[in-house]
Amino acid sequence: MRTEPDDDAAVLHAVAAGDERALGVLVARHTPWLRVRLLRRYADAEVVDDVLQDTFVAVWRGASGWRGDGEVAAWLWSIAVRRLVSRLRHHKAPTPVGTEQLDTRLASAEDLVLQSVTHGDLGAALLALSPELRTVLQATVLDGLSTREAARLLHLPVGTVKSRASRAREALRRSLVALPTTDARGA
Amino acid sequence: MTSTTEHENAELLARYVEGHTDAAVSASVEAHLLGCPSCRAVVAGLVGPVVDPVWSRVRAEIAAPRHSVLIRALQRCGLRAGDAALLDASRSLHGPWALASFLLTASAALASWSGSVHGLIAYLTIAPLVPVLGVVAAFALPGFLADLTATAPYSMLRLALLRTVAVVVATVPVSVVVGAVIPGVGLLALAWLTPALVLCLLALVVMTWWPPRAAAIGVIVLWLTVVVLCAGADDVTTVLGAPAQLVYLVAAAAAAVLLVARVRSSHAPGGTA
Repeated sequence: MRTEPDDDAAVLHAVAAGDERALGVLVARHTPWLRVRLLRRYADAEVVDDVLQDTFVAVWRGASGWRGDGEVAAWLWSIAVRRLVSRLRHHKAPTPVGTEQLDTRLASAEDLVLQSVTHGDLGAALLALSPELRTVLQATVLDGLSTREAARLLHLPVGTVKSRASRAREALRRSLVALPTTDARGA
Repeated sequence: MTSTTEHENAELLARYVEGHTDAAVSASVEAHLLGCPSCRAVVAGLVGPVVDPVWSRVRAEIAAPRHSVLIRALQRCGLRAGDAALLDASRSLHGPWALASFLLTASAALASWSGSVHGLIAYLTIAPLVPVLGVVAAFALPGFLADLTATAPYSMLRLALLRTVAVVVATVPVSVVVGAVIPGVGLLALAWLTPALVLCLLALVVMTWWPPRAAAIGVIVLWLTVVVLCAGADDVTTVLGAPAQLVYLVAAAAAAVLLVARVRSSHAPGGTA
């Protein structure tokens, strides 16, 4: 199957060189899915639109902070979800931080597993978790947030996030071990 | 790694966009979207016109001038955007203020370097007056700020305090540093900050009655009197000693209360509100 030429990296280089039209291209390409995913995390369109604005402004001012490896989309998400967390901390207008401080490791092993699993064992195990454990797991593992950031996003004490995350991992591990090894999905 | 880049079908993406997918499927779709431009394009086709509003806001923001490091730091501490713009507008005055405070404080510090009592008196007299003169200048100078005052929908107290902050931020660090690096001044380089605070507040209060120039002269005369009295009665450094500091703090609180009361009854510093 042919994948479309993904020239996001080239666009980002142009943005780093100060090309405003390139930023426009980036906004047009990535606003829709980022907006949907952010709204899943925080169902307030006004806040989410502020976050999107913050995100692309941060990209404009710190596009050179992109290390050039990995998916541009994953990098954008890591900025956006942290901008969301920081919006929620102080509801007034935050100052954009340099994007060079952001962690770009996001295409983790968990993502690769999830990419191949929809209704498989892991999916079932994930759904069997209580909503409290699942949201914590989602924030820490899937969204790549630190414990502290996840605590802010979910309005929970840091200690609670820590304990729920470890309980969620434990529950996932137990239910996956308990299942008969039907993983015919192939290695 | 993903040898099978089978695209999530359009129907699944539509259910995801509408929020009809469970947590596992959503997570799977989201992970897939990170690496799949064509599925992202499908999503873009499903969500309606969301790009233009975001783009116009981003463009407006990157077109706006960036605030200075200092203002951004203040914003992080809760300064509102409008106030930031106002402070930035008065930034052009920072240069002259900083230069004036540097010259004043340097001359005073050099005078006290010689070790004579007169030099010390000069430093103690001039340093607390530098921020006061800056505050008064902020109201007395003609031009942009004055026009802004006449037209801006601003609480006058807010405006007065903002200007004071701008002045203090521009003048105090320079004066402290200059005082601290000159031998013979030592801790006194910090001790004059409290009388400076009192004098600033006092100047603002007086300016609700008098024009800026007259207020400045009044406050200067008051401070000179205090210094001269202390110098005549005892060691000149008592003017900044611990008991005196207490008096200044009380006076600052009283002046602040008076200022708020005056402004509440719609007398703004700098006149013509």
